[in-house]
Amino acid sequence: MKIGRGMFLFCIFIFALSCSPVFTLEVSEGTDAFQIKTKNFEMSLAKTGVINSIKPASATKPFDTVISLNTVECGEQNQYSKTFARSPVIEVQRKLSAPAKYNIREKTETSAVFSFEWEDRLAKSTQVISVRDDSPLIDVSYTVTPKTRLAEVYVQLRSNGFGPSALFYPGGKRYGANEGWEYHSLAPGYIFAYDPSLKGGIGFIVDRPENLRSVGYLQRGKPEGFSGSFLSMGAYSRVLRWDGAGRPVSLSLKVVAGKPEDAASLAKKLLPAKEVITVEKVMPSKLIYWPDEEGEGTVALKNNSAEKAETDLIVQITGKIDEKEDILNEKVVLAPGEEKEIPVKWNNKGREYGYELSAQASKGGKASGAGREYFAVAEQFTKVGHPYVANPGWMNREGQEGYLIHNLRENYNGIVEYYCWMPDEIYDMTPDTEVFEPRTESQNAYRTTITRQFIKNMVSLAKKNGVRVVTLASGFASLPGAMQNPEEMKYTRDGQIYIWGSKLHGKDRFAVVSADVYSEESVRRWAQEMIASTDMFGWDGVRWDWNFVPAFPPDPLDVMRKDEVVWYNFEGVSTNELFKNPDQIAARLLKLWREEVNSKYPRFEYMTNAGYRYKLEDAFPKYLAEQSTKSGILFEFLLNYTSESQGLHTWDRWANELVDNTQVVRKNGAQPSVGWMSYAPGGITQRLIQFIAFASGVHWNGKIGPKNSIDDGWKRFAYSFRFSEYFYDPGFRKLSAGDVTVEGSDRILWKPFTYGRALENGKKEVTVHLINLPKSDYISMYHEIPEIKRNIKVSIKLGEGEKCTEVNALLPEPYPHKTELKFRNESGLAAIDVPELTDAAIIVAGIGGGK
Amino acid sequence: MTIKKFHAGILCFLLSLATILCAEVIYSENFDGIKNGTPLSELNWNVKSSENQSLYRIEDGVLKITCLNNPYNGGFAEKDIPLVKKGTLDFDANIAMDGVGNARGIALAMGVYNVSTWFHDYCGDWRRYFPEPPSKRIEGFSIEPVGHRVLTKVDKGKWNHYRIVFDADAGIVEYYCNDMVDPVHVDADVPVLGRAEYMGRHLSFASIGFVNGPVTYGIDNIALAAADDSAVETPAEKGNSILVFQGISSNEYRAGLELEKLENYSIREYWAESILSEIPVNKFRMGRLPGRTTLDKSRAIVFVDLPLGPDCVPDYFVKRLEEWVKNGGVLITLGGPFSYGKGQYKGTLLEAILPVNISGLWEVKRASSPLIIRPEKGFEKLSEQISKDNPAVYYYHDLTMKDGAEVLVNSGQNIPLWVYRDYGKGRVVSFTGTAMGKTYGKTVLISEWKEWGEFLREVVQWSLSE
Repeated sequence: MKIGRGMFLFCIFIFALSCSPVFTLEVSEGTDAFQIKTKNFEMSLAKTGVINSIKPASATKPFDTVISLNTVECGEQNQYSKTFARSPVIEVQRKLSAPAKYNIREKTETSAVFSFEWEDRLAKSTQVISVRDDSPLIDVSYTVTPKTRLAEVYVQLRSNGFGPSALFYPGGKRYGANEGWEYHSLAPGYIFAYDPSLKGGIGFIVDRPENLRSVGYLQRGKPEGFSGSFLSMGAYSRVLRWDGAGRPVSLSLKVVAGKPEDAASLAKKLLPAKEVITVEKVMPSKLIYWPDEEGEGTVALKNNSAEKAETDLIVQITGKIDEKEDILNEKVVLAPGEEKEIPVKWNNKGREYGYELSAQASKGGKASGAGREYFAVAEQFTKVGHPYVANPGWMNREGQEGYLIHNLRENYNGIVEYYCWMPDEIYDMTPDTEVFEPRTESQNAYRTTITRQFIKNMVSLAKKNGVRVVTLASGFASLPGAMQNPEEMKYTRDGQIYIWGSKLHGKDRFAVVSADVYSEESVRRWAQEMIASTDMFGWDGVRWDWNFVPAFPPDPLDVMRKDEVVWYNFEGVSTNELFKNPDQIAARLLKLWREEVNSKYPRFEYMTNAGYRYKLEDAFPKYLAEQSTKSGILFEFLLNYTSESQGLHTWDRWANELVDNTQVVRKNGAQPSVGWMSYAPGGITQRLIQFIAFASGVHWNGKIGPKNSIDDGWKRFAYSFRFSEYFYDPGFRKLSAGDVTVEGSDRILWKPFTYGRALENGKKEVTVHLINLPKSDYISMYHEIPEIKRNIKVSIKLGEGEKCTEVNALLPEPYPHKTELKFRNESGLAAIDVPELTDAAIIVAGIGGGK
Repeated sequence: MTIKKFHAGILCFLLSLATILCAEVIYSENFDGIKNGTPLSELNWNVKSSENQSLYRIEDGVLKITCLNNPYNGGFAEKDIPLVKKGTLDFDANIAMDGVGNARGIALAMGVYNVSTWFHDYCGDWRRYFPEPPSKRIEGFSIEPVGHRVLTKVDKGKWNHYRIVFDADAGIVEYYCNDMVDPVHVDADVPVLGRAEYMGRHLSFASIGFVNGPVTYGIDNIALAAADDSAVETPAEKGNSILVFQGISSNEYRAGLELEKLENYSIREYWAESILSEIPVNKFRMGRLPGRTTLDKSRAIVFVDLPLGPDCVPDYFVKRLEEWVKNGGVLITLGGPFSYGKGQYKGTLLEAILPVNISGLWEVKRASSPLIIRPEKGFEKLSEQISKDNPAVYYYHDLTMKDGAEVLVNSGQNIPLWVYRDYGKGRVVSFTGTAMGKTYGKTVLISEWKEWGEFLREVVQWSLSE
């Protein structure tokens, strides 16, 4: 066959076409958005710069994504103004009312670069988005120039497009939570959400962590008790509070579209290489153990190489200041890429307070990976935990307990109080039906339903994790309870049942009534109801928001209004005639209640709100003694650190109040807490009020943000948890003025925090807590980071024959640890050199040889 | 239908209503047919305002008042009107119809005689503003302190209809917004025509001047009507409504729910609310009270364990109630821990019309054994069920019957539980039991009895039919 010239040229053309690259990058411009198509994905990019949707090539349909920038105002006032930090303004790119100033900077057959520029109340922002035809990555970078002080900025993806089977990678897990409870991993790193039903996924790779702190993520749907399916992931900046206005901050991340293996492969290529063997996890099975519980934990090792690897693994428990105990020492061999979990066990008998469980992998004496986590052992759990309050107004659906307990565990809270949930706080702590309504003081605001199963699930999960669950008891009868038991109610001077608060929800009347339950019979029955409730739900304790003192108002905060609080019994007899010795009655009834409940549940812990500001130890000494015996005491009355009239508004005043009141209740072994304080997360105020509370011997009562989020409270919680013995042992009593001096800077807070405790064999320990103060004395305002204080001299007066034998500083950063300090015994003093103070330290001096 | 026409329709309705109520419209203005831009002064209004205070002009058949930033000095416009001692003022208003972004404070005020009202743009409500009654005077001061009170929430940018019903001699002013059946608020002891200071025979609109920039308010369909006094003397023809005043035992008695099952009657409910009180003194208030017309046209009123005090039911209303019963109304009172002696009835006009004598604050007693009900009149269709179920009272008000009172339902222990007495042309029926306690033994608490609703309906029907 003869090939003609035309045919020849045609063949050449086809050959040339098949050998040349095929360019598929398409960009089309619509009214509000660009439509972009590459080999790997299709994307709708709004003219506000927001990525509205992405369809990975593998996926069956596009995901609605809404990837946009969020700018968060600092919120802290420049000067003290008697108020807490305000809720910050948040500017959200996706809410821009008009298109940003946009530009297609570059458009070739294989790539395109878009830029956007806009201004809002908080900042001027620019955004650059780059796409390449041959890459599944979308480069996204922002430069934010603040017009005012910011707290943080973050790039967030919000989507309702992922189905219920979607999972996050790495790990292939569901990370269920409500907003505000997201999970955070530190940058550099990646997070990728994949929906197998749509055969596609989207994620962020943060390979250039400059200015970026973490990636945060959550998904919410039926498993968490919510309707619909919501997913969020974000790349969060470092804390920007100290950058000031005008200083630009740049963020850069990559959006990846495709499958989990694509994301993993790209992440491996882009992210820093890992050690051959890494300690991926160290995890005690529980946060708080009972002393008779055996400790169990897991250490996970990973071989990140493509070859077999072996390591020497040492697992230790560290307690007290730095007492180490090996619980495992063995060689571990790992196949290429293998992740292996190694179980460990230990005995908790004789242990108390906080411990570190640590793992060290090494090869030939060279460390190759390490990890640590903390646990505590306590018979009285209020010695180590920080109570958190979960309210059934927003924590009531089966599935929510998962992220609640996860958060409390990660943040070392250790105690959750379930608030205002009962059908009746005197007569019905054991709901008769599976679904029930609380009728408590909270229903003066809202109405809700709870299932018994939710509470059981929450308690069960908490116990599994070593988190203690206590119930609130605010001591009010419900209106139905009052109607059924009119002879046990308090009456007003007008002869009416005393209604404390009330609300009409539609045509249902909700009210709480203050009850006259100041008889042994009533208290016994009340205790039996608590026992029955504990039988049903498994409570570890109770936190009362009520007093056993009959002449008090219902709320302990109103304690000194007793002249206004004369009430009457059913027959019209006044409290003045009924209760001639309220202190004695209260002490007897409280003791009776505690004994009754403890007879069945010996570990059931008593916690209570108390208003000690009025020197109640003088007015009600017997009651106070009973109330503060091995209990948890809430100092709600000390939470307002903005209050000048209450004298709580400066660092030292608030600290002195906390310490003075702690010393009152510590005599009998009580553990105080203070809450709920409002603060700007990640600010100096938050940092210092937590250090001050802990140094005062006071636990935090309330929420802190997720671990690794802008709220860095978890670091201080870890510090107080690990060294709980040195913060919370009631044996530490305040030393006299003049027993300790600290020199080197007048911006160190230490005077309220000098304590001593006696040890065995005539030894003793003295602790001095040092807190680095900013320039201003006022608590509630913006502060610059305090400068590091150096060459601090701590002097401790020694008794006759006493000598200092050892001095350590217990430090919070980068993780709770000790460092030895130099000291001298001279002229009846222990002279200690503290080279520097960054934020806070406990100086612990061991002293012996005294008479 | 345009909004404007819609409101014109309302006006027609109101005018016809006024006719029905024998009222005489003595001034009205709907601004229809007036050329756009016409200043209000051309309609014989006295405008005392400069260009930097407030502007008054007619546009599209609406009076548009633009308030400018000039705190406490915003100018005003007033219209001389005849003196009407008893009457109604109706108007439509659209708050911040333009410039809502500047509406950050208080600007538009509206007054008739000495009754002044204003709109709080920041809080989004309508308020009244006039000297407090003598009972609220500060001790030692002869001058009445000035007070203001929220009347109702108001949405910006929407037309709403307002009505002020005033009675200068009685000193009562009722305020209505949209719902013309029951007022949003009633003030008693009001100096409608002034005491120390008389504002004059004026209808006025003014600017208080707290705005960030110009804010325009729309006014339309103004109508002042004088009530015909002779009409008030004649009792209104009764309708078929039963007013249920839900006191604190409302959940237990479920009176509204049960009485809704009565055929040929409509139920309106009024709720006593309890406010947070940290010390043992209750704080009550009524969410709403029926207006004069609603009360006059109702057939029966049921007080469900209703406290008169502290501060719950105002004296003026008790006075009206007494007149209403005297004129043929039927009042039924249900006992509980907030009624009779425990509801501050002692020494009131309400006590005067009850069939029982109030004992005192501690009159509620626990029955030594359940007080099983024993009807003495009527209730035939329930008699078998009563014998079978033993509906009972466990706690009761230990009261004595007044002369002329009779027993409707007794108890096995001969402690009367339902008693009644005629008062004028009306009747008062009182349940001296309560809904307190827990069902026990072979009895059932009367309010938990499955026939309680039927029983209550029987009481009401008997009371109305006899």
